Amino acid sequence: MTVNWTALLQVFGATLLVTVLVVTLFVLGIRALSTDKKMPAYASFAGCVAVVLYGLSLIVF
Amino acid sequence: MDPALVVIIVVVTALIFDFTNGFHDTANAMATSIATGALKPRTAVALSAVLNLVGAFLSVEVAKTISGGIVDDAQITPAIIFGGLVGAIMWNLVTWYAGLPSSSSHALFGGLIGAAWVASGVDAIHFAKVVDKVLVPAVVAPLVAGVVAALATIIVYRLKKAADPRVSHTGFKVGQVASASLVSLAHGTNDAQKTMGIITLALITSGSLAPGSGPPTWVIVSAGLAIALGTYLGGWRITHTLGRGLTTIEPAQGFAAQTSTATAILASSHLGFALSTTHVASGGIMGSGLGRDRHGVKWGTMGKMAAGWLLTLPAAGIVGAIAGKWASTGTGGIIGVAVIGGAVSLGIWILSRREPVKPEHIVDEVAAQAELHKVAA
Repeated sequence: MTVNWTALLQVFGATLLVTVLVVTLFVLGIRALSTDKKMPAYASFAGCVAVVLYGLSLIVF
Repeated sequence: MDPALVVIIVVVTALIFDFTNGFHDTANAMATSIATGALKPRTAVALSAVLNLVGAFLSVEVAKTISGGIVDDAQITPAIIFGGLVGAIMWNLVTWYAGLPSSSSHALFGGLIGAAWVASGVDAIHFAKVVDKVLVPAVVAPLVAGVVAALATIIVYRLKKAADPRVSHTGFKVGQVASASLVSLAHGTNDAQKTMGIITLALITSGSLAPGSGPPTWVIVSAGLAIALGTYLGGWRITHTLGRGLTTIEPAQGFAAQTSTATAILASSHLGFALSTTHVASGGIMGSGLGRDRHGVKWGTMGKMAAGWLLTLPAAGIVGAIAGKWASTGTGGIIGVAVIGGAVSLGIWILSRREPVKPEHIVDEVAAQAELHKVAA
């Protein structure tokens, strides 16, 4: 009975990395937006979208 | 009975299971968005249905785990699969009626394993694969989602202090809808694939497909449509428990919980782990509750849920074992299982019609809860 711990570790690593990245970018975007800094805000939100799309592309292709 | 006819019965039953799965699990993705008022219930459910459909097309890894791994396809027949499916559907409907977020996935595995075990013997089950691809991920994935959600919630609440509360309130509602959409997509990748896997397994055991084949396109399309339709039509009852009973959720917290849940499910689907999306979503909500307030989680509700989870595999296994054994005896057995399964489903449906929970009720209760908070403040 072998359990593939590497794969489980990958799930943990990917979840941790992607989630922390997305939520941090998103909150920074909201902070920038509340001080009316439009450009950094949009850059942050675009970063979130990019991370999500990259993740999905890894699954599909 | 003509083997081709048995396969058709299995395909139809599997699609019904897929429908009840969507019916059961809409809550996972949309509970927090509905609870915080970020989305109207009907919009939430329609969006979730479409994304479940799209998600079904993203990957076939989980389908392969089921069609080519957990049971020995040389030792089982479509009739046994039928028995397992009926066991899973009955367990799903009972827990749905009781408002318990049990796992459709574990009901399916339980039913299939129980049926194969009793009808074909213990050799028909690949226990090593069951442990590696189902049981261990079943424990690990909700923990991963929970731990990461707790961390994400802490980050979100630390960083959002500096933001304008009005901007952040609107912003997180948008973020919550986006992350809920990702959960729905993730849900489609994992749960719709389980049905694809079962249908593919039936086709392999009847000799229509070569062992080791992936799901044919018509199987992917029909499984995606069935789960989307089920999602659209159901789930109010469970949304009730998950959205409000577990812990009180703010948009920022819902956003953190769902981002973590969606990522954990998508990563697992990619590696072929057939896990319970319900458990992962609950893990995410719990984790974010802990991240926000150590005392904010209702452990009692959590305990009841965990008990329901533990029961799912053996309970569906026993029903699946009885149904599988009976169905494998021949035409009479298949008809008998179908009639009893149909009668139980009809009975629960009639019972549920007596006290329907409509989407409007949930909105009203959320509004009422918001009023309470205002009074308290």
